[in-house]
Amino acid sequence: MAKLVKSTRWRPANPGGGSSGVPVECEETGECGLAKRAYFYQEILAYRLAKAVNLNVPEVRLEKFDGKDVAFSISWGEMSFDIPKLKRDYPEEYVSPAMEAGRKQASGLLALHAWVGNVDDQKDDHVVVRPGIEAYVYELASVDFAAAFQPGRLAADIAVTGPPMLIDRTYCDKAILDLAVSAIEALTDEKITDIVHGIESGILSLDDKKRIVECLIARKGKLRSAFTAAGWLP
Amino acid sequence: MHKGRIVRRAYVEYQPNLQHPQEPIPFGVLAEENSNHERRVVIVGREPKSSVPGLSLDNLWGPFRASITDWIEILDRNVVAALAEIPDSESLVDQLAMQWNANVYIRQPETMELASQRDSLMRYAKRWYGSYVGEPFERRTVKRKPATKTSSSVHRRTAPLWLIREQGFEARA
Repeated sequence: MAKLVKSTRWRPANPGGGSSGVPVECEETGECGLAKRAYFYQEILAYRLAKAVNLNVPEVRLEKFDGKDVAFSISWGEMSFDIPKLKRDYPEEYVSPAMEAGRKQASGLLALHAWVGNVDDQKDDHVVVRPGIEAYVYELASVDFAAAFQPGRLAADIAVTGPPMLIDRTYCDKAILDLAVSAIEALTDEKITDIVHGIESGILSLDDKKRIVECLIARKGKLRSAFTAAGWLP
Repeated sequence: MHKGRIVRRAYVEYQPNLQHPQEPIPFGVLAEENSNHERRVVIVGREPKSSVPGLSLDNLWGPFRASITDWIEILDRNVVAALAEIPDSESLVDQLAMQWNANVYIRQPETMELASQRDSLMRYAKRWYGSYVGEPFERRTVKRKPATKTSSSVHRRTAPLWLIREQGFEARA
């Protein structure tokens, strides 16, 4: 584990409370991001699962800050901001064809939210946007999975869920959503087990790992029918 | 008990790379004085108007570029919107600091006690700007140094690097 220090090069005001995090830098790599002291196994596991199915969630790693374990959530690109800022400061961009394309391209994130049971506290503050390699290409990502993997949620029926800007059917590309569901379905049970059991010991008990593995395997088989029943997939 | 005037002040700065940060670039000051049912807010800052070295503006487009080159105009709009709805008891600087947390961000606001009853908030803000940015506030564009002669012996036109701006707001409760 690398050591994190409070950032002296990016120092926005501290909102305090919740799982918002402290701006930090990694001493080894120079990377910048937020250190979150709560819900960190959820953040790390959601990132690793998202990566396995090629969905946009900024990297989150377990690191040390002030002598304690934290989830180090690395910034989404050199330049990025959250959706409320885009809506507030550039309302014409929020309704632009480029952003419409970006929202459609992010449709697959709905499959991830549904799969990991990230039902509560869904808001557009938890969607970040960065410029793509080409001009006027927006790349969206989901952050904050603090509410995911809860026993009650994972054991319950799958709910189609997501931040308001993504859960809008007008901006959902069914083909992209279908691809994401297929990618989750294609994850082998062994791979899911490896990812969950790969979470560092001490931040998630063995019993919880077993419970999560069991639920994720069961839910991947029900994901398509849940989206179909709700009218999101044909 | 406070004897002087109480002001909330915060610096605005820019970090070009949130993944591998460099030294932040000072942009300006936001300050607020709220007394006798009257709220004064001032912005004093500088906007880059061309390719200032180190700002990594060249490949940016749309809102990502505008968030840097037009930050005072954007903050101005945010102040106007916030003034219309903020309760008397709350700090507008604190509220905006919560929203400005990207590449261009507002640092943690601090409380200042001003000794002078005579100097305006704007005057104080210009002094703070000068200390923070390292150049005195002068409402003019800062020019590039004249280019050296090119091979065809033509001088390039000088282009403005920064636009220095001030904005003041007053609202009665």
